[in-house]
Amino acid sequence: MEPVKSVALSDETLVTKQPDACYHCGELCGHDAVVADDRDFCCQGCSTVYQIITQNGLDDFYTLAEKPGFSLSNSSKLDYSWLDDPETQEQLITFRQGSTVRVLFELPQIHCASCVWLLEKLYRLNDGIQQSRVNFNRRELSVVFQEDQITFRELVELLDHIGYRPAIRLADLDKEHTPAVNRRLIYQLGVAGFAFGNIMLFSFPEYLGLNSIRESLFSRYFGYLNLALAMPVFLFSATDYFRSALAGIRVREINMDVPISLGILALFIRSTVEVLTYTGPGYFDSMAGLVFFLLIGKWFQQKSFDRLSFERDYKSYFPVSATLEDGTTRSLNQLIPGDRILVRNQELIPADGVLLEGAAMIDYSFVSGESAPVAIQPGSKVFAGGRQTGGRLLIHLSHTVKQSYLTQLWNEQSFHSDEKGRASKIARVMGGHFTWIVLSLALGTLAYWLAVDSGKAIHAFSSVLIIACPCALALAVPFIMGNGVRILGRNGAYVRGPQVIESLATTDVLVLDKTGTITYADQSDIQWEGDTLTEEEKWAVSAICRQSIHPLSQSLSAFLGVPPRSVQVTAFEEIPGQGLKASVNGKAYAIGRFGTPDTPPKRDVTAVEIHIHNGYVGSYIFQPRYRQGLQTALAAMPASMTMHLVSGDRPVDHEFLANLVGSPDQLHFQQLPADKLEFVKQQQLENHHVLMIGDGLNDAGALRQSNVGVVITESLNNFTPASDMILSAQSFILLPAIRKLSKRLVSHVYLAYGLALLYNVVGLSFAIRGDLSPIIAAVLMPLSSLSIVIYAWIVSHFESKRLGLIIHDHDQ
Amino acid sequence: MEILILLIALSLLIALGFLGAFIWATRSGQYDDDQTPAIRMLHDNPTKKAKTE
Repeated sequence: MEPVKSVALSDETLVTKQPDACYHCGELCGHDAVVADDRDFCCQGCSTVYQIITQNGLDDFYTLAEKPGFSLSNSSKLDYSWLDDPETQEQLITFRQGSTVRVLFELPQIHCASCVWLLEKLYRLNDGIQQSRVNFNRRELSVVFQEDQITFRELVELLDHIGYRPAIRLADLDKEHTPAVNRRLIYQLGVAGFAFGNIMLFSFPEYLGLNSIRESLFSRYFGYLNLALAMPVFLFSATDYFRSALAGIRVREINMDVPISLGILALFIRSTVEVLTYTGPGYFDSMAGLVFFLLIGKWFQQKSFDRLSFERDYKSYFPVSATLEDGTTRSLNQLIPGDRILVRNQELIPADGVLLEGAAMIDYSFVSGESAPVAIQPGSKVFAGGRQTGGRLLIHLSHTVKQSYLTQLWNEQSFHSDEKGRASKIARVMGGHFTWIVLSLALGTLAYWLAVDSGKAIHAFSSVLIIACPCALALAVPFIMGNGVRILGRNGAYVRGPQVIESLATTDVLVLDKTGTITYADQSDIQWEGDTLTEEEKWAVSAICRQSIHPLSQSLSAFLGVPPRSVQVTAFEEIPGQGLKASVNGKAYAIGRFGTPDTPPKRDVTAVEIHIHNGYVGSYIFQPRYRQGLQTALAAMPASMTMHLVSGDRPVDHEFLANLVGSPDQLHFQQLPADKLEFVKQQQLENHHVLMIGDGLNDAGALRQSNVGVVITESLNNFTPASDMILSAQSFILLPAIRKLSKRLVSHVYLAYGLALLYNVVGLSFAIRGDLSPIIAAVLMPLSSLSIVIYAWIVSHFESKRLGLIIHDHDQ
Repeated sequence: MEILILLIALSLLIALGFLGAFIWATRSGQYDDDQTPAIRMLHDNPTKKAKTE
């Protein structure tokens, strides 16, 4: 029933049972294991961090959480010399006074109580650090340090050294720092709450019907006090609604904020006039209460979207510095054409240029979606966004980063399809209808009373505007969708706004990417095809593959296991684009794609051929491993949903995939990023609402174009393309339930609207007759709002439970 | 009964004081992060001093 949780649970038991788990990070100790202090460490890095931590008396780090450390076995040392550049520093530093500097780092590795504890004790590791504070939600660390005792670069190196490598991105170097938290809403909420409470107190004589004091001094005194208290609510707390309403009218669109603004305006003017002319107590209590409830709704909604950033572009992927030919590093936006840069294994090429030397095997999956690396000869062009797999390259840059092909592609209009508004579409449409109804009712009432009893006309007119103010209506979307967003978050699906749930409910075409989306990004099934290999030969293959950093060699050696030390590799040679040659114990091996005339290289599957003494023995076939529960998840999608597979890869597994999506016509292979985008557009032209699931930057354009773009990711800390929803890979199986939930929540929003309208009808029946008393307004408004909030809570929890989703979060 | 006017004014002043305290708390960043303090408060102060200096 609760797949995400059970995974986490079995993970934990695995760690505690395993005797040789790393003391620092909890991962299994492999061939690089280090023993120190009678404790096992998976790598040298973890052991170093352990020593730093214990030598500074910070042992508690290991007692506070189960798996506190972060594995360092895969991280290579970075050169931070580019951080010495004062201009680069200025872009990253938030505040400087004399030698005291404050800087904010994003540390995606922060994951447990121990992290918080260690990072806030940084001052014990270096005297130059005065204070460090963690924001757990945002995975941020704010450090105050003395520049004359520890340089910026040393600070970053210290963090990197203890396993928290700051995520400094190109985007950080470009944009101005924006304040992280919006405190304005909190002030507005506080002021409105303060005024609401006090106005209620001063209105008590009125509520209790103490008419004896009505005409007295007190009545006037309270009136003036209420007016004074209501002023900041009207002029400060409510301003965002007026602004949004005006902005809506300016683009000829009537949103929900228009009737709200009308209501607040009517409340304030009517009440002020009543108080100043001593004709009544006014409705200030209703006004302050209305604004207070509305702001709570807004705050609730905002809280749900704190955690993840959805606005990402190529800048999030790119490194921030490049290594020049002489070994120094330079920040990326200072690179100019003519620079010669070094690109090492697994590094991205930051800008277009010409390859000068080195065996280039460039993986353009980032750009094109095709995962097989391409061999490039010196003298040929290389493009930004390619990832080198293999040895070191020297590249002569021909373009700056901003003018490179990939970045140009991003700046193209199609990749910036109209920004999908954050506002709820239902609320917008309903707001429009609602405003016209209210206005015509109010004007009708005005006309009627002008004819019958002109003295009552203005009174009745403003009463209609007041009572029709759609407070409950405005709360329905924030609370139902806000609850929905939270529940989805607990199930590993993070959406960027309530309108995503609404759009999800109407989608009828599902477009899937293949590699990394329906298959695992980091796992494949390896099968042997051919003559049986002896144990000795297997070890030899494994040992040879260990010498190479090509991804296929790496996964093959991992598959075959660690060879005994006695296996000695001699005459090792790596031929780019073909494979490896070496000899072991006098036998000559050739591993890779050395096709002979009688055994032509297989082109339709990824295969590594093994030749021994120039004779073909067999091949290791790499099959993508499909996600667990893939068939179940897709089968659970409603029959009305058409599915398409759009992949950048060569055609594989035709039969299986055709079965999966319905028919072979729905498989589309060898699609470039632009083709994917075009495909989505085509579907939309045929009046379909597209739900697209992808993973890489090559899907980014299509994801943006889709009505709902979902990015699937193994780790939420990974960078993902801009999208509407980030789905954790374990939650893939929940997709049908998530879509169903969104459908039901949307219908509940309509039901809540019906409920809110009921209250309005009751109130209106008083208002049109011209006898709406302040006390009826003061009771109806909170009552309707409260019932909506309760309704929202009940239905969102009930529906989630029925669909088998996790409701409560016990992990944190 | 007229003394009520003074009392009410005083009570409002006290309430304003609380509003001031709320604004001060917000300004000093107490509402910026509502999750980390919950984790932080469970940590003991380190009792052990550095083993090697």
